[in-house]
Amino acid sequence: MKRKLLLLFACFIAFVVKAQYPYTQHFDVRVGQQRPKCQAMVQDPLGLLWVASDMGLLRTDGDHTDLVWEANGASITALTVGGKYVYAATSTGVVLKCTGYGCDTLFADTLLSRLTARCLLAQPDGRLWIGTYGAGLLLHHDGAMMRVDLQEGLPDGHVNALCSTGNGKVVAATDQGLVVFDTKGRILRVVGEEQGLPDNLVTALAVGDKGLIWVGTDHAGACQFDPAASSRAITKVDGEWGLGPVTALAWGDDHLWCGTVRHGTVVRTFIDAVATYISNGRSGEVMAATKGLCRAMDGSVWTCDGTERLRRCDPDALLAPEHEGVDLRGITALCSGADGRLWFATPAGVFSHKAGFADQARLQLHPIATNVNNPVVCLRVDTTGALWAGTTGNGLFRLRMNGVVDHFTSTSGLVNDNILSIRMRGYEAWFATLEGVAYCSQVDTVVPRFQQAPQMGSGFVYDVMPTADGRVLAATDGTGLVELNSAMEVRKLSPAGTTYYSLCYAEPDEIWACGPGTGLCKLTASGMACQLSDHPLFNGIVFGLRPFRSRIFALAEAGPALFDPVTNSVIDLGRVYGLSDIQAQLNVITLDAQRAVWFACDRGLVRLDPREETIGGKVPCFITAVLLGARIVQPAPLIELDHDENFVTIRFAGIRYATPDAIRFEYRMNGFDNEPKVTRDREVSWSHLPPGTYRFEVRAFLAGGPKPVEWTSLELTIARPWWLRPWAILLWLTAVGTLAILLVRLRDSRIRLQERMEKEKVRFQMEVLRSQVNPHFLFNSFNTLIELIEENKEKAVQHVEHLSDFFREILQVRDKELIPLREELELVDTYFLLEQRRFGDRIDLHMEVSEVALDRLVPPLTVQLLVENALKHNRASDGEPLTVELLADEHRLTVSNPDRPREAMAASTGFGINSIHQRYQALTSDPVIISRENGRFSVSIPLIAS
Amino acid sequence: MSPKLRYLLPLLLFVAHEAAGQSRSGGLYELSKSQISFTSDAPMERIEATCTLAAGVIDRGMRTFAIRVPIRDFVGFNSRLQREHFNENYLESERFPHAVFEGRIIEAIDFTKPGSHTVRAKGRFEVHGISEERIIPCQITVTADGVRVKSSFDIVLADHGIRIPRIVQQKISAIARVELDMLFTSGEERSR
Repeated sequence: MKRKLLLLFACFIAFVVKAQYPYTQHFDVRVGQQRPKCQAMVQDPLGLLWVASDMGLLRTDGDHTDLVWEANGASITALTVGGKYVYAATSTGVVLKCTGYGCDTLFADTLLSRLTARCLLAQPDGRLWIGTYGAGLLLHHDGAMMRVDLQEGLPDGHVNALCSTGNGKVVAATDQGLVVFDTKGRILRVVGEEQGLPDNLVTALAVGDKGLIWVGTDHAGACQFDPAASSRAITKVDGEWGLGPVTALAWGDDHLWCGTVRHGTVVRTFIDAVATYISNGRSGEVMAATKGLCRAMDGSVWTCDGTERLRRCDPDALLAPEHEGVDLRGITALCSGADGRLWFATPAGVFSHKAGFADQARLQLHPIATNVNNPVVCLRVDTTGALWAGTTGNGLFRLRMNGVVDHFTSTSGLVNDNILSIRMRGYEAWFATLEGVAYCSQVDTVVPRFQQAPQMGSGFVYDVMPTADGRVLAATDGTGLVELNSAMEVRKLSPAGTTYYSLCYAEPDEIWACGPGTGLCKLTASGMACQLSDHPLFNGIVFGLRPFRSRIFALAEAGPALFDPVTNSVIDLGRVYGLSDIQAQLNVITLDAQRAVWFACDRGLVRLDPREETIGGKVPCFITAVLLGARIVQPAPLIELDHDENFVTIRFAGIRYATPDAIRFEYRMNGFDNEPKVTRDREVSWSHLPPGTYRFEVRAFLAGGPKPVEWTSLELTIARPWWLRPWAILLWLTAVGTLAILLVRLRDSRIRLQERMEKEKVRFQMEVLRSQVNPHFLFNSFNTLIELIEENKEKAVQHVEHLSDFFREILQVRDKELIPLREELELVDTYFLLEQRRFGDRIDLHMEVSEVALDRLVPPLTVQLLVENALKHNRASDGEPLTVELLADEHRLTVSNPDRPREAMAASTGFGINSIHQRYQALTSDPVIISRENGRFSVSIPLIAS
Repeated sequence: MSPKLRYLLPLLLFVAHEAAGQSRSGGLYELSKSQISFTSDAPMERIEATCTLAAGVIDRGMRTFAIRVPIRDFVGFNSRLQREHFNENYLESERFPHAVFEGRIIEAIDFTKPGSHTVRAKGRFEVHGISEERIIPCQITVTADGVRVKSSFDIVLADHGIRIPRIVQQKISAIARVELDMLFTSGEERSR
């Protein structure tokens, strides 16, 4: 019964203390259109998140998700990161070693397919520890496997979690307590309930500070374990735990994160009991179990609950819409005391919280009478620790340390009952009122005396700020910034008509102000220097300013923002923490003892303590994969590709989980187009990169933020095709050269042949001419002529005409290369007529020429020469007339005659037949055939087609 | 050996195998009488159903156990139609006829001496074809006759892929409360 009550009580606390802390974002993982069920997460050294899901192993940068390994029905039962590799164990007994370029099977074990791996741990020495569900512990090292089971002293074969201590030892969580191993897998000690462990059934482990280990149990919550201590190794932190089994643990920045089965993820600060929990679902709904917890390098903690939704919890931000039933969305004033106490006023009263919501202390309501018509609009703690609260219309309250409340109004000496701002300087208090500036020089007196500062034009003063050098600055409505020096002399520092709402002092000696539409103004020797008035974050109302580290924090309508006066850059914190477009009261901002900034707006009370990684514009950027088409290229500092592998896709990632959609990438491909381009996409493709050497460079930055100097780069070469490589070019040149030489030679020889033929022709013509006009022929002709003149004058004239015809025909044809046979035969006819005049019937010409042959070609005077030869070399008498036969078919022409050589031969020049041979050689391959058989001499020449 | 036990033996052998290397198999306790009921307490309607036909064994030496509950044998409900819906729409008992819980008892208890113990049963809990690892606290009372196990725990329907349409969310709770009371008797005693 007692136990049940306690259990109930624990639940009560967990549900009562409900601020939405820390600030939680969610990311829905998608693979294509599918929604994976996420079971576990790890972060690799680059910062990418690896998620084990029912679809397989995923890798995400918060914006883009890759499916690195496809499950195909199997499931991932354990996941860990070691060095640059991610290890995953599957339900089929395979242990995978993965990089962004894919997964290799490290080993497969049939035992692991039955008794699945529950947890993995990759040690720096290369050992992979595998905790199984029933088969003890397996150690994989250099391909060898060692098994630690009950025989070796393991108290139980079910290993639920593994964790490495700082000095190389390993702690395993089993169903029967904790086991400490040395680096080689020998059991050093077993810690169970007898040794002080609150519950033997240990379900989760996490590395804590100083070599300590956080231990999550089934029913006793979490405790701390010192593996080095010989006794009293367990430190309990949970008196009574009512939130069921701890499913996962993570530790960092003094926060312990416990995943539970029914209560989401519980976050606790060290030593303190239950503080807050992250809501996984809508209120009233059953919350899904936290399956995986992962503390990221940026301090945020990720959880997954078996759905596609990943949650990122940022401990740097707190947003509390209500606390202990107090509505924090209507806070009208806020301040922090030197003791860390946070004060705030709502229409329900003035409250304080001892440690700024950092522990489980309750809110305290203070007896300051407020009402809706006269709300407290400013709060300030003075040097004595007393709280001053200014109202609109109801004067001023002072809450002394001893609890006594004083009320000052215009009837008790106060200048005006509307106090808009209070600031302290030593024992002085300065008040901004609707009737100028008032002050009180001794705040610690029981009845303080209020005085009115000189009028400064407008009566409406929104903020007042005494400076260390004795001046007082006032932000007024219509008169701008007004200075009161120590002698109470008024000096206007800005042109008339301007209005300022808020003032702040920033180190080393800067005064900043803001008002409606002024942007951010800095007080300089020559007046106010304003900037950013047209910046989207500052062109609405700015509710207040505070210095934040070396920057200026501004609470604007568009959301909280940080201005860096050194780089002149603006960081949109509203976007980082989901707090854009807010409404707030003027100057409801304060800084706490840790220099974190608090403000109140219509969303609730907000604490922001963004770390440098968040506000610095630096976005780590790296190349995650190089793809050729769909094929992933193995990583190398220099990627060498073939000439046809020029369809290149390069994927890159930038890590900024707070605002992954604000990341922009600038990339350039040096060697292709050196012009940098900006993109939101996480990959870029080239379809036809020409051969060459390239240097791909990329850098990430936040939209609107500064760009980093360094680029992340990748060398890439695309080889020339082999026919363009130097040796191939040399080969080409040689081949072309050889060919050219050959051609030239061929041409040369042809020219030479032609020249020879030309000479041949000329010589032939000359010989022909000479033979035709040889004196013998002429003498014979003239003798014949003389005879004819005497006998028959008419015949003589005819003979001379024939003679002249013959010579004219010779002159006509001798220059030609080839003439038709028809013309040649006409010439032969004429010639024969002339000869017949001499020989009479002793000679005869018998022609048999086919019609086709007449159009064939022959070299001029060839046939004539043959006929002439026949007449010249053979006897012809009346008894034995010489009959020359001339036969021509389509292809050949044959001149034949009976072989009757004359005894007295005229000296032959040997020119006739030889010259015919030579001429035909140049014209055709068909031979000139000379035969002497059956008593006949014949010469056959080929006819050439026209 | 009763038909029920024969039916369950392969399952038990699997469990025994899984815990191979642990102490030798001791005597078996067989489930002789059981009452397993669930309650769905939704704002608009309260549904209750009970099954008395479960089969199960406990190996007292190895502290392993296996229990199998036939879904179709749940009776009760507020109407026959409701039972039909339960079987056809939500639990799909044609495809997934049994709910199974098999595993082992974490705490070492002495089965020889009568007494009462609070133990945790850790194992694979399967409903609607989807297995979850569960650690369920149980009250075990060892008597001379056998062992009596009582427990109550919650089943989140979503964990087992049982989808409740939005329209009936007011009538069917997302969590089913299970109460079980089982009496195991030793096999030898029964045969005697």
